[in-house]
Amino acid sequence: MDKVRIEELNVYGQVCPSTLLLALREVNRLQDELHRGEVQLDIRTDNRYATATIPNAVRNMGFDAKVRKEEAGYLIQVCAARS
Amino acid sequence: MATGQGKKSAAGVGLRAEIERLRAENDALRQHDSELVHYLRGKIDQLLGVVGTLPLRADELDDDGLIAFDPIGIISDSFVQVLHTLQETNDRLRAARDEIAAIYNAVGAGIVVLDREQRILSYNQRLKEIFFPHNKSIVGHTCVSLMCRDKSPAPGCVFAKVMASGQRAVTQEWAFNQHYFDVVGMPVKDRQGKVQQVVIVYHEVTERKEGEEELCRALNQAVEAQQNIAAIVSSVCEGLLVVDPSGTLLLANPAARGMLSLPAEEVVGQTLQQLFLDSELPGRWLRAVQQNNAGEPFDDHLGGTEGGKSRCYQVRMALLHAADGTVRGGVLTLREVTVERELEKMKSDFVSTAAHELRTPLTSILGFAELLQDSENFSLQERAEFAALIHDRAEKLSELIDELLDISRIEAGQVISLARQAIPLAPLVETSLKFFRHSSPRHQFKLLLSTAPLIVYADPRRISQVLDNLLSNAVKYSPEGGSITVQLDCTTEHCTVSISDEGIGMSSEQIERIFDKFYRVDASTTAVQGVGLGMTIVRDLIKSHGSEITVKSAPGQGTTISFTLPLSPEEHF
Repeated sequence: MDKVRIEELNVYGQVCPSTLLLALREVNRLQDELHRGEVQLDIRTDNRYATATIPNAVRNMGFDAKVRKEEAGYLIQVCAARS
Repeated sequence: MATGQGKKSAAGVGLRAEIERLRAENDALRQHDSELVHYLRGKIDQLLGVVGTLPLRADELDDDGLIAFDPIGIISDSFVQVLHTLQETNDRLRAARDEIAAIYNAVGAGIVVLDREQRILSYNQRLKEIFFPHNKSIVGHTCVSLMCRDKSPAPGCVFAKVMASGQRAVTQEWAFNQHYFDVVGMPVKDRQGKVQQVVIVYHEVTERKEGEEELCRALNQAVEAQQNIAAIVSSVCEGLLVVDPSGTLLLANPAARGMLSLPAEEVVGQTLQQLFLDSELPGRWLRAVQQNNAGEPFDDHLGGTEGGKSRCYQVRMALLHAADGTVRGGVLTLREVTVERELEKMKSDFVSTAAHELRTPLTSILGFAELLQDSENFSLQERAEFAALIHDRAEKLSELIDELLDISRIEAGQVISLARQAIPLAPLVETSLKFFRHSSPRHQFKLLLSTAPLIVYADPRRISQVLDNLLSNAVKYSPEGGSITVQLDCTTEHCTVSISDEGIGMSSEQIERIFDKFYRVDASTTAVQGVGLGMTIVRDLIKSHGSEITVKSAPGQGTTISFTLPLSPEEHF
C-alpha cells in the first residue's frame, strides 16, 4: 500500500463557523487526492464545537472522519471513506 | 471681466452639481453594496445553518474579508461533493434494493413485513405459496386474521416477541396446516430506536422434523434393541465372548467373566492367546478366521482349575461377516460341561459295571443250570446245592434289578412308597449283621445297643435295604478287614443308627459326591464291586422317612455314616 501523505491544517484560536469554513476549504482543495486515498488531512483545533460540525460535514461529503483528544485540543483526521 | 467671471461662476456651479451627483451616486452605490453584503451574509448564514454550524459574526469577518474569503464558494463546493456523495449513495441503495428484492423473491423461505399493527406491508412469493395460494392479495390484512385463525396471537408469536424485546426473536417448529416452520422475526427501527416494522421469515422444517422424529424413533428402537441385547447377553448363563479377527476380546458377558475369574476391565482388550495359554481355543479361532468356517463345537479346558480340578467348556464359534463377506469378528459361546462330561463318563462306566454285575450271577446261574441238566453225574445233595446257588445268584440279580428300578423311580421324581409300621430296630440290625458276619469273616461286627427297646416307625424292608447297603460299603471299603460297628442311640424324638468302619475313608470332595448317581469312591479298583447307585438310593429312602443321613470320614481313617429314624409314637417319652 502506498504511503499516505499527511496535510495539516491548524485552526487553533478559531471558532465556528470560521473553523468549519477553513476546514471545508481545505477539504475542497484536496478532494481528489483525499478520495483516492493519497492524502490524509489532519485538522488541529481547540474548538470543541468543531469536533462535531467538521466530521458531520465531511462525512456528508463522502469522507471518513476520526476525532482524537490531544493535550492542547483535538485532532480531526479526514481521509477517504472505506468502501 | 464680468463675462469671464460669469463663466467661472457657471463652471463652479456645474462642478458642484457634478460633485453632488457623484456623491449621491456614491451614496447609492454604498447603499447598494451594503445591501448586497447584508444579503450575502444572510445567505451565508442560511448555508451555514444547513451545514449545522453557527452564523457568521460581522466582527469575525469584515465585508472586504467576506468577499475575499468567499464562504458561499466554499460551501457550494462542499455541497457539490455532498450531492455527488448522495448520488453515489442513492445508486448503491438502488442496487441494494434490487439485490434485496431478488433475494426476497428467490429465497426458499416465506417472508412477510408487518407494521406495528400487524398489518401486512409486503410479502414474497414463497410466503403466498406456503400460506395463501388462493388469496389474491393479502396486503393490509393482519397476520393474526390470516394465520392465527382464532383471531388471537398464537403462543410463541414472533411478532409479539420482537415488539416486546425490540430484538431478534425465534419460534421453532410453529405448526400451520400440518406443516412446521422455524420462524425468525427481525425488528426494523426508526432513528429513535422504536420498532416500526417487523420482518418475519418462515423456514419450513416439516421434512426435517419428520426426519428427526423418524431418527428419534429409530434411535429409541436401536437403544431398546441394544438394551435388550445387553440384557440377554448379561442374563444368559453361558459365557459369551465377542472377538475381532485377531482374537482380541471386545466384549465378555458376566457369565464369561465369572468363568474366567476376571473383572471386565482386565478381560477386554486381551487376546485369546493371552487369556487361554494352554488351550486349543486360540488356534481354533485363527483357523476358523483363515478358513472362514466356524467349524463344529468342541470341548476345551479353560480358565485354570477349581480346587485343583480342570474345568471343561463346550466352545461354539459363530463368525461375524462384513458386507464383503470377510470375517470381521466372532461370537464364542462357552458352556461349562465339566459335570455333564463326568456324568457321561460315569454313565458309561455304569453300563460296563452294570453289565459286569449282571453277568457275574448270570454266568453262575447258567453254569449251574447246565450242570443240573446233566443230573445223572451228580448226587441228590450236589443237585440241591446247585439249586441253592442258582437261587442265591438269582436273588443277587433281583436285588440289582430292584436297585435299578429304584433309581429309575428316583430319576423320574416318583416317591418311593413305604409300608411304615412300628418295628423293633435291634432285631432288624441283627438280621443284617448276621448275613455279613457269615459272608465277611475277615471283619469284626459289633452292635452297640441302647438299653431301651427301640421301636421305630419305618418300612422294615426298606430299612433292611439301607442297612445292607451301608454294611456292604463298610465291608467293600475296608479291604484289609477291621472292625465294623453299628451303634443305635435314642433321643426323645428319634433313633440314630451309626455304621462305622476302619477302612480307606474319603476326602472331603468324595464326601460331597458320595450321594451322586453312578459315583463310586474308587472306581479304579476292580476289587470294589457295585454300580454306584447304592448311596443315592439310601439317601432317598432315608429322606422318604422324613429323616436325615450324614457322613463323617477322612482318608485312611475310616468312615461313619449315620441316619435317623423317627420313633414310633408309643415310644415317645
